[in-house]
Amino acid sequence: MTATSPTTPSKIDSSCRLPLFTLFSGAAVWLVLSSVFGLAASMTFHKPDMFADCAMFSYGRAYPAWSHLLVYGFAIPSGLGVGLWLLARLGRVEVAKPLLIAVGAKLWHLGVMVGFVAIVNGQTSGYEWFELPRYAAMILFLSFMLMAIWVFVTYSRRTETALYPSQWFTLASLFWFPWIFSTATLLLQIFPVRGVVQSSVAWWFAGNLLNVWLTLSGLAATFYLLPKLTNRPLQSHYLALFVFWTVLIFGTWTGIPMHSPLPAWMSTLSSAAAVMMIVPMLALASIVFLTTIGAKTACGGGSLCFSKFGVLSFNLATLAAAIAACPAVARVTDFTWFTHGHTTLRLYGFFAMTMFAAIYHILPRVTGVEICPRRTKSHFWLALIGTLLLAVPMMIGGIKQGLKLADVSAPFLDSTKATMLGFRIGTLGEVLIAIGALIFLANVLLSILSHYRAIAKIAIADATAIQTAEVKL
Amino acid sequence: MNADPKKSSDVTNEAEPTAAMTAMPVWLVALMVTLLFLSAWYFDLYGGWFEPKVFSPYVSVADVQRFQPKTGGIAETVARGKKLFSDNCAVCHMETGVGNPANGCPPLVDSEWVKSPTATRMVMLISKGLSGPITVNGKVWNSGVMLAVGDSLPGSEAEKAEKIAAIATYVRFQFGKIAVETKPAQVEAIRASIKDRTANFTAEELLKAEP
Repeated sequence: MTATSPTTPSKIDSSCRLPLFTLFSGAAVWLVLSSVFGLAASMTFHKPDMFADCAMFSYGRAYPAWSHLLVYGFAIPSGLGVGLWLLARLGRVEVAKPLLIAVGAKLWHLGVMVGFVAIVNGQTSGYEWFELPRYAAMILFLSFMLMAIWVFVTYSRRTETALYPSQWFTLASLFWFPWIFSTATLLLQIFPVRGVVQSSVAWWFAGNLLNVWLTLSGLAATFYLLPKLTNRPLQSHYLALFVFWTVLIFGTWTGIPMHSPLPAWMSTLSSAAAVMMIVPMLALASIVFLTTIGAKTACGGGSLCFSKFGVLSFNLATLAAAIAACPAVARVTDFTWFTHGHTTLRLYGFFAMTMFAAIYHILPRVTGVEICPRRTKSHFWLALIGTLLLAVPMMIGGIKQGLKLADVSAPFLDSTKATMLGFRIGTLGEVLIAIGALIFLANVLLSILSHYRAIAKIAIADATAIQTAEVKL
Repeated sequence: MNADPKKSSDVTNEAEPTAAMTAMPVWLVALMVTLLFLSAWYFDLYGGWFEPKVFSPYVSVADVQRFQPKTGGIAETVARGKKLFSDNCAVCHMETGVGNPANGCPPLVDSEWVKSPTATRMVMLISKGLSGPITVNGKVWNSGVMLAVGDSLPGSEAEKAEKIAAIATYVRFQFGKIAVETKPAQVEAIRASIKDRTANFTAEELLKAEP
């Protein structure tokens, strides 16, 4: 681990194994469970009394369970795992205290489970994207700190001193989450602020979580994978630096809707920031264009496909959010399903796809066993079609809903009916996403399992060899 | 799946990616500066400059104040008169001013006594009360007596005049659709001219004072 004895990539990968297995397998399980609850919530729109006798699956619990498991169960552990591997690989250093990080990951999954059980029992906090109760939030905070400290120590022991853009993004994400999460926990759960200030804190947190944290963590993976898989240098260092600072500076102001019941300066600044996010979006688009243009790598449904679709979704979601921040459009789209549509595109389309890309790239290295390309490919197409079927009709339905709401002569029920086509197609999307999540779970678990089977085989072979040698003696 | 740990061609290429040091395109910086300028302009137009009282869709303190009800005008007097009317008059004339025929209380709504050109008759009537027959909207009321409510209001003479003015303003505004404020000075002058009277007025006397 010292600078005098440089380590090899395979040694680094082995040191990542335990924390990554824990983080990724848990994330995959939560993703499957999250899509089950997403599907249950979606079904309620077609048959409202479907879960009338089952409180757990009623909309008011299924929807928070979906968002809780998707963000805290899937997104953060997978982002952290990918970040750990990136810091270790790019810093050419073995992971410091992998066992402690794995313990932190276990604790994190425990916290997610505690929050999930509380939510399905009706103990939600009531803040969107921050649904978990106080005790679960505390477990999550402590376990994140436990993991983040050792991830940071790993970084600080690096032997390769030159920094690569992915490292800035990962490091910033390590610091950003404790800041926003502790602020939200303190101001919403431990010493709750009063009145509408609660909603401003909740919106600020959600904006930072979805527009900053997910972006930092996702782009860290994107900036590693695209040049790596196309075998070309990242174009360029300065553009990546520009994306980094603009995301941090503008992203942190986003989140407060135009027509929120807050002083006008808050929503005005927030919507200006959402429009400013066009700047990092265009910079990212130029990076991807300049890096991959003319590259002869076929993506074949593997990591590169996932990553490219992730970038496309990021750009579409950011553009939709920027357009929805313009006063004339916000008048129609605020507080409709439009917001949910582009948030879903960001979560499933950008972040989840980028994480799938990274995990499918990392796992074979860590386990030493290839993942069946056909299963990866089918996951890619299911996730892609599912995401588009979920997000796009939802955005169109949201616009139709907003137009009906703005029409004084239309009865309220019309605004709800206007979204029905979106829900019908969206439910189909949820089904595809759920099947895709199952394939992802199978890929991750089979990959881990085959690693241990291979180890067992070698051990048995060794033992047999020793026995044979002893017999010969 | 192959049980042996094996490396594919992809896995064997383990060189880490590098970032080219190509210069940053200028158009992006120009775009950012332009958008920042537009954002600042937008904030100046709609942001209310961090004023906690300004909520969307209003854009400034002046804008908010433009939509506030005016103070000091007839609205304020009407509001105070409404309160005094509830406390002192509504028990007989009802909150809605429809009167109470069972107790011999005539209505105020659209009454020609309320809609008189000036409030002189009403101020005299409120001050000293009324007995004897009175015709309201073509119907003769003869069974009730109105007490000297105005004289019995608490406070000094100036305060009484101010309260009677508010009641008269409210009654004329609410039941007579006349948006003219009765001033306390006007009431004081009328009350000074009748200050020695102790008996109730009659309808004829009131009509003589203000035809």
